[in-house]
Amino acid sequence: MSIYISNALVATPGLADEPLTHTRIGYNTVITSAGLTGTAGEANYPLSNVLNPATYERYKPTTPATCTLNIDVLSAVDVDYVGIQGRGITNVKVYSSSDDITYTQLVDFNPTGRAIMALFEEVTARYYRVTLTGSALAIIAMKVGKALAMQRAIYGGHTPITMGRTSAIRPTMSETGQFLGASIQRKGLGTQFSWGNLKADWYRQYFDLFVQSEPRVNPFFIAWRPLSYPNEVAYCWAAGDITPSNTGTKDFMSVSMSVEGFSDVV
Amino acid sequence: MSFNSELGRIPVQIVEIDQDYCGNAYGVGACTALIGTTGSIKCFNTYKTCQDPENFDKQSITLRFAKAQTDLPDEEYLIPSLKSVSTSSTKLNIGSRSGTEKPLGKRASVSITITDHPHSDNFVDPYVSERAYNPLERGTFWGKWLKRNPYYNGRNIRVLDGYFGQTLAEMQTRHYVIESISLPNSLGTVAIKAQDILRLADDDKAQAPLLSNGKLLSDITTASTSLVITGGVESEYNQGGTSIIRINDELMSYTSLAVGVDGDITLSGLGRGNSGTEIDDHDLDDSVQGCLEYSNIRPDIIARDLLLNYGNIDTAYIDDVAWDDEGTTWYGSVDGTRIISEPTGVTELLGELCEQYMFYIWWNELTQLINFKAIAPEFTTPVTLTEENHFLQNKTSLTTDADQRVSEVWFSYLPKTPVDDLDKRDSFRRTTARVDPTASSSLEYGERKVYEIFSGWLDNDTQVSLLTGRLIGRYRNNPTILNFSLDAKDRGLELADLCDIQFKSLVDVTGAPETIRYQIISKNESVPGEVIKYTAIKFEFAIGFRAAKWMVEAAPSYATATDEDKLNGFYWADEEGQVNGEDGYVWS
Repeated sequence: MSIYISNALVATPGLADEPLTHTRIGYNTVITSAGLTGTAGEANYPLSNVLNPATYERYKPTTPATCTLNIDVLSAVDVDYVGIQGRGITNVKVYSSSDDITYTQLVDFNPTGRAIMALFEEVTARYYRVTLTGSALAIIAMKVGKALAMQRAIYGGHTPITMGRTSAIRPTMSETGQFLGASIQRKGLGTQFSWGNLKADWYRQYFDLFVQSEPRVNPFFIAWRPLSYPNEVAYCWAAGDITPSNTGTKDFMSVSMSVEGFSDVV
Repeated sequence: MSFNSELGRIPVQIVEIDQDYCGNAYGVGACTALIGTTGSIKCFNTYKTCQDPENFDKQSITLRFAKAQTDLPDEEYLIPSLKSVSTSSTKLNIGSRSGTEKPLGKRASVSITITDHPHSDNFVDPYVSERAYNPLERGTFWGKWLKRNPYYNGRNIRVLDGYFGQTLAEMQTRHYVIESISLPNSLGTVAIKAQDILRLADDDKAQAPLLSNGKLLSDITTASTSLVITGGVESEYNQGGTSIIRINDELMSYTSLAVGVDGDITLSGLGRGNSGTEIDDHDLDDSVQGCLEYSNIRPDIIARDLLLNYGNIDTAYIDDVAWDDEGTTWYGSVDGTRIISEPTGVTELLGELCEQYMFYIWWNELTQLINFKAIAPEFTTPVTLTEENHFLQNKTSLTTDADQRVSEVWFSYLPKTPVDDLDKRDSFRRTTARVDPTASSSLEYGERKVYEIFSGWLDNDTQVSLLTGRLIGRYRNNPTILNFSLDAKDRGLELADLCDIQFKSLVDVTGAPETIRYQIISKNESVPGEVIKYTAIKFEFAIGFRAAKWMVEAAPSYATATDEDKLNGFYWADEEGQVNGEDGYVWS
């Protein structure tokens, strides 16, 4: 897990919609199959798998040490994040361009984990380019778009998803009580996010769009407190329906969601 | 330390299906398919969708399905849609003695449930990038797959049980053939059923001899020495090299067979009334059936011939060397003779052989071989299993199978003719009884238990005497059945293996622990990669006897012999019945 926050965002907090201590959710993407080109993928692991939400469908470039993905959105759109769930990535570069000729570098960083989120000041462009270097590169998912910046921060009681490791262990014992062995049935990541005192208008204008994107079937990237804990990023999906509740007279809303995260140990 | 004995091992289960797949590319080389001429879209390289079937180059690809878990091998294209695998292992019917089981025992089978889902068509559609549609938005994996691959019956399916960190090749692999695949149900799951390879020899699929289709071209009388068959083919009348035919209830041998230009078959040099059957007149259009004769053939060779030539079993599934070794060791002077005069189920015939020659055959899912083993004394020292170090908690039980006990064996043999029904005593020339009166006395079991066998195979008094004696020895006492479960660390114990058992219920008359030898008759990985459930039967080759091998000339004297020499060898007792103060072997 690894997050990149551009220097400008850190130095000029006002550039971001909300403080970088607030959760960022990367759920929408401007990548389309028609607008995606780049380094060809190996047989059975084509470039189009970048858009396939199934995590077993991966893109493995035929040049395993470097690959380039070009995104043509067909018209200029606002973008402020790139999310990647991958393997073997040691460097990420992100560029934007208005003419597909001259590109401006937005991101250049060396991630330390496999769930990667790059946050940068919003740009408006038609063309984007992501260049990855590493070894045995594989992309399980990638999104490029405008992240949802939560209106409120998360404080006490939260389990960071990267620490929300779940497992089922089954020991076996002999007739006389000797410990014979133990198997790990399954492992994964899971936690719950809760936000209160969200302005009702804000919820309806922003968060409800996220809920409408069906996060149970369309996984998303999430960084619960990017500035404080840049390594705590995950690629997740909601474990249940997300329904808010009105908190009363001040027209606030509260919402919580349980999520399960992609855990990749290979 | 191996993966299965590691603490924190992570079980991985994978199902592999071999799918037929054309080796040609659409419209390239030998393939003459052409969009607009042979079809509107390219095929999917399957026979069902093929547009040039004459040039279909049948090869295969392997689909792999795994349970949805994080820790999976990355070496192959795996679809994590596997929900459950329920295996039912082979259960040996030793010597075909258990009347509640089929002659060849219970077959291994597997039921697999897989979740259906949208699919990219990666791997299964070689032309996916050329399609004018997004496969993720069209149907689901299994709906599409079954439409493209309706001919899956009999194809290979494998269940791999291993651990994260192992390669697929290192995992334990069980082999089956597909019986059925259901369409996705309303819950979005697909059920696959598969069985072991011996199903191909089931009575409804395999008979010996094969049915002959020929009929008499004209009437024949009791004096006829030749006849003409029409509507048949030559191979139907010399099955297994047998030159004997059956018309109604008469068997006839012949000395020459000639096929005419019109396809009719002329048999000459008829030996009428063969094998004690009655010579009779026969009419035009009476069916003529080719017979199958075995004459003084070792039983393992007969069983192998039935499987390979009549049971639809490929030679790759039988280890000739191992069968021959076992046959030579235990059946060197034993043989079978029989004329089978009408199509008879191969499994039925094999069951008779298992019963009357005291052996068993079974499908080994792991080695992908059909094994053959004689009921015989064992000379190796088996592994010892204890409740302290091996048996899983609260999983052990002991039962008694009184149905298998025998106090008398009635053996009918030498059938009067091969065309009689071989399931009643008056069809045979001889019936002999071997009785253990003590076993049925009021001091012991207090009731007679008769085991009656009708044999079309044995024709030798000595062999019959030996067999009945062995049967009484093996089944004189109620066999005890032991059910237990082991951790995967002990999964090396296989079907037909022997094991010495130490369990709190097994004691001598003083209550002291007693080690009892059992033989594994069923093994099932009830929790994949973790728990293996076993059923074993108490192993008794003979009561009151110690089996031994005749030793080589250079064998050591008793004084210098090793414990193994003494265990397996044959030291004749002196006049007092003692060898160096210990019990000597009994010559029997």
